[in-house]
Amino acid sequence: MRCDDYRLLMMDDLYDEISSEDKERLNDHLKTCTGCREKYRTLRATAGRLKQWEDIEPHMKLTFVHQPASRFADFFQSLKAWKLPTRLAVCAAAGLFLLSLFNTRIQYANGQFSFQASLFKSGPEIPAAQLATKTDLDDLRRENYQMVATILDEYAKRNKIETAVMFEKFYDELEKQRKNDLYVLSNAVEQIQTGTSRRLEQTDRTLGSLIQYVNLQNRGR
Amino acid sequence: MMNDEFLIDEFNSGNVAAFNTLVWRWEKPIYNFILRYIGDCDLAKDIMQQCFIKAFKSLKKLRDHQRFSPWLYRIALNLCRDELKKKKYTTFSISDVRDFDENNKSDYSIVLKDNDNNATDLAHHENLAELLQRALMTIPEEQRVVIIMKQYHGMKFTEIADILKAPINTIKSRMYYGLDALHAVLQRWGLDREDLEYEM
Repeated sequence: MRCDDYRLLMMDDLYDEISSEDKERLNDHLKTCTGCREKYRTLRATAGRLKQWEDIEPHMKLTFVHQPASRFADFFQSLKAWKLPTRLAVCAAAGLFLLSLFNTRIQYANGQFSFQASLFKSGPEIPAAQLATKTDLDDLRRENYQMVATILDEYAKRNKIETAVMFEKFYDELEKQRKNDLYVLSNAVEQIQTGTSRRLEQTDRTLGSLIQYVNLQNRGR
Repeated sequence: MMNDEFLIDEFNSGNVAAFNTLVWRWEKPIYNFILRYIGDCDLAKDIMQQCFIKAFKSLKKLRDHQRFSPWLYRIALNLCRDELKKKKYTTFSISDVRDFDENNKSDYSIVLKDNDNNATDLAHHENLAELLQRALMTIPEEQRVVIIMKQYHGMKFTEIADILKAPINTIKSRMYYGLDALHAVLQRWGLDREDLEYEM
């Protein structure tokens, strides 16, 4: 052993942590090595000097009191008490819940994962093999044209029928109105005739009375 | 007497008074540890307070209740290191020691003289504490903390190695070089009187 190695044993011996074998070895070394002996003596003196520095009182009183925690604090405190597997399980459940909330879809096909998430639920996905080809699209477009043309024809026919019915109703209304007018007119003419004849009769009576009066006057002269 | 483990169990089951007993039991050692490490009474009190608050908050996380005291010292040490970084404290350089030596040489001789006459004299203890504090601050932090833990808190080298997360031989080596450095400083100041003689 070198002197450096004995330095560690000196520390063990200085603080009574040395084994009897090591102590014997250290003593043997110190008997022969003046440098180490002198060094050990000074270190012991220094340690002795340090021991004279006594502890002092902090002169302050720390007192901890229990503060009622809030409901949330209690909840988070209880979370801290959970063990790791429980925490992992809860985290996984929370993660799955969030994924379901965002309509997440994870698929595995052809050795690849696909991930999709959206706020709103999307319709069923059409497989690529079933996607419409150009011919299918043309057929669909043609069918759409025919459908729209049929709808327009039907609409025109319905318009014609509705117009005819409307004209017929209008004609009936006009005829009814005309008859009504004629009736009113005939009544008016009849009333005029009756009134005229009555006036003529009254005039005749007035003229007869006048003639009688004139005749009486002539006779009196 | 209730041991630390029992008190920790009590605290974990909601008895805050148990923690106060732990504080009462450990405040003096922790305070003196911090004081010797930092060298400032007021700051040492602040750090001690922070240390116990931190312990209060995180005691439930301590799995091995038998390791309470190393855990507490570790908290105190980390807080001290944070404070040193924050305040950018500097240890005394050798030139400071030399200047201090030249300016106050007569005072030391008075101290030693008083020591011979009355070892328990309070003024002597205060002066000695101040000098040893100053001497401690001249040595590297890694040596200082080992000396404080070993010399004043009676920890085993294995415990210190555990707290500082360093190999045990490294700890012993730091102790050796720390004492050697302190001897050099104390010798310069005339405080190297050998009270204990090595006997073969």
